[in-house]
Amino acid sequence: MKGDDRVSISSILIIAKKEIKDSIRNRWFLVLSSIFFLLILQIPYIILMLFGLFSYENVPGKTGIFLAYAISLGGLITVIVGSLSIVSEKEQGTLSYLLSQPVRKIEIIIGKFMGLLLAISLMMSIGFGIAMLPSIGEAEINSIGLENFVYGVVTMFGATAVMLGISLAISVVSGSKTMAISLALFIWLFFTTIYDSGFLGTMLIAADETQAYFYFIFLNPIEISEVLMNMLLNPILNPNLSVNFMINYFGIGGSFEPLSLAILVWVIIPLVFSVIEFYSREY
Amino acid sequence: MIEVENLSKKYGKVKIIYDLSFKVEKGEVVVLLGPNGAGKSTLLKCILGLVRYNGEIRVNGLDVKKKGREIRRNITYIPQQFILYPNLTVEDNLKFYANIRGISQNTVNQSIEKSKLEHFANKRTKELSEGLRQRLMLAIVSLTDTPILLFDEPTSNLDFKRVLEFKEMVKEEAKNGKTILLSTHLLSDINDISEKVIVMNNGKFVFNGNSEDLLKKTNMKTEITLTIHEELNNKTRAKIKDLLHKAGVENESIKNEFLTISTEASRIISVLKAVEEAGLKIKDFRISEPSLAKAFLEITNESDER
Repeated sequence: MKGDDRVSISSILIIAKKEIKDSIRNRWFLVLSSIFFLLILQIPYIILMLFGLFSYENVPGKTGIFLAYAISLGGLITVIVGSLSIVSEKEQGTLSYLLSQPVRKIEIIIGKFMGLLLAISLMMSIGFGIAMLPSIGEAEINSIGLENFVYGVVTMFGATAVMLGISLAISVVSGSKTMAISLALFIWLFFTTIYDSGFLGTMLIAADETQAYFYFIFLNPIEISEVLMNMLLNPILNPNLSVNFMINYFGIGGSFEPLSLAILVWVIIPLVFSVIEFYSREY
Repeated sequence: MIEVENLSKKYGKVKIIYDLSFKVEKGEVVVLLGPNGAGKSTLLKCILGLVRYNGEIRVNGLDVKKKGREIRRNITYIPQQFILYPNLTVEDNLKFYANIRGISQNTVNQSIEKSKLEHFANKRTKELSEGLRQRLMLAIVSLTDTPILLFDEPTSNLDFKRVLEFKEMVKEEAKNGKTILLSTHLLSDINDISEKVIVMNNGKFVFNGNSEDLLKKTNMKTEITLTIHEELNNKTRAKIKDLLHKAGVENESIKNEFLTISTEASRIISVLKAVEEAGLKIKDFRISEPSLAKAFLEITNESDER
């Protein structure tokens, strides 16, 4: 691409900056962040702790639990925020005006993706960080190792990026905010709950079919992220069938690459789809 | 300069614009007039390259299909809806649009000052009153200094004071040699502003010229209504009719003490002379100039019937 067609990094950054500011000043975003923090701490534990019936130190396997929760709950917040990003601009009329500026549609999508990813990651880091704060220095954290812990956090952001890409695609194709939110919630529910229960039966029937297991894991980005997270934090003593399959099939060390690569693919495909769809639509 | 050749546009199977061709010369102000759903907004979106179309559109010699970004750099488009981000502050809204076009912070500050928005600079736009939001919108629009301005129903969301401010702004921009294409369904927008009017209906041009030509085309006439002291007898009626026909009047009506005459503006004096010659005692008289509204209705109804 040359001249007029070149993607402008500065336009992307301007849009990303606007998205961050817009998100941080959005009351709903702050409410969701607080909910995220509370859910990550797990409300039952909080209540028990408030009544003095349970101590924070006794929360079992904090890092693993917190990070695993962060993936599914962070996914929920991400799909809500992401699915509204384009469609709400369309409804409030800012999209037409933005498109009349010297920016390209691809710059808008990437700018929004980057801005929202940073804003959500920041919110999740704060929520997760506060939840983890009292654990600093605990033996459990030290046993995981800093490298694995960082990898785990990066995986959490990777899962966020996937869900953001999917929700952006939803936002592009949706005709209204209600439609976008409904679709986004369904997708989240599908990946976190329906998929597991639906495919559990399939797995039992196809117990010896390794290929089915393979698809089961790789066709669900939440599953990929959770498997990766579990492998990082507690690879051996894990009752998770998918983790066991990955260890048997690829080995512990050999599982990280395909799983990480799968997350990357899951980020790219919805993003590319969003760009193509955004170009094909007229606003 | 904007050149449109054989432009047509479909949304699905519905044809919105039919084979339009026109030119807006450099420094010209053209009002695109038409009822809601005539295709005006779609036409502006085609010029901006926001929608796909058949035909050719060139802005300052550049093909919209190939040089969209470069063209949009030279155009300020003002849509009918608000263009503000509700969660961003006044300053952030201005800064965002300024940054996209590479406009300096200094210009943003000047714009805030000029629009008297200094005290609201850090307020979120959703917290502003309607009037302040309108002021901010005009401030955003006036940030850019582009040679071409496209307005899509600009006054539909503005209060009276802002409409006057807006018209002043358009006149000022026109004086500065800007090329302006303004779409509206409000005839009041034409007065003072336009040199040229394009009337659009059902995706077709039904008129392209100036407002006087529009009146001529629809054959709209000045209407004189005379109130006479007493009811006229048949003999006087015949005399008046004769005198009026001699004065070139083709259409008149006498009902009770009212005499209504339709004529061209140039014949008003000879009509009044004929009335005087007939010896009528006039109690009151009223002259109604032909209105653009009537002409517009006539011309759009005519095209609806086709």
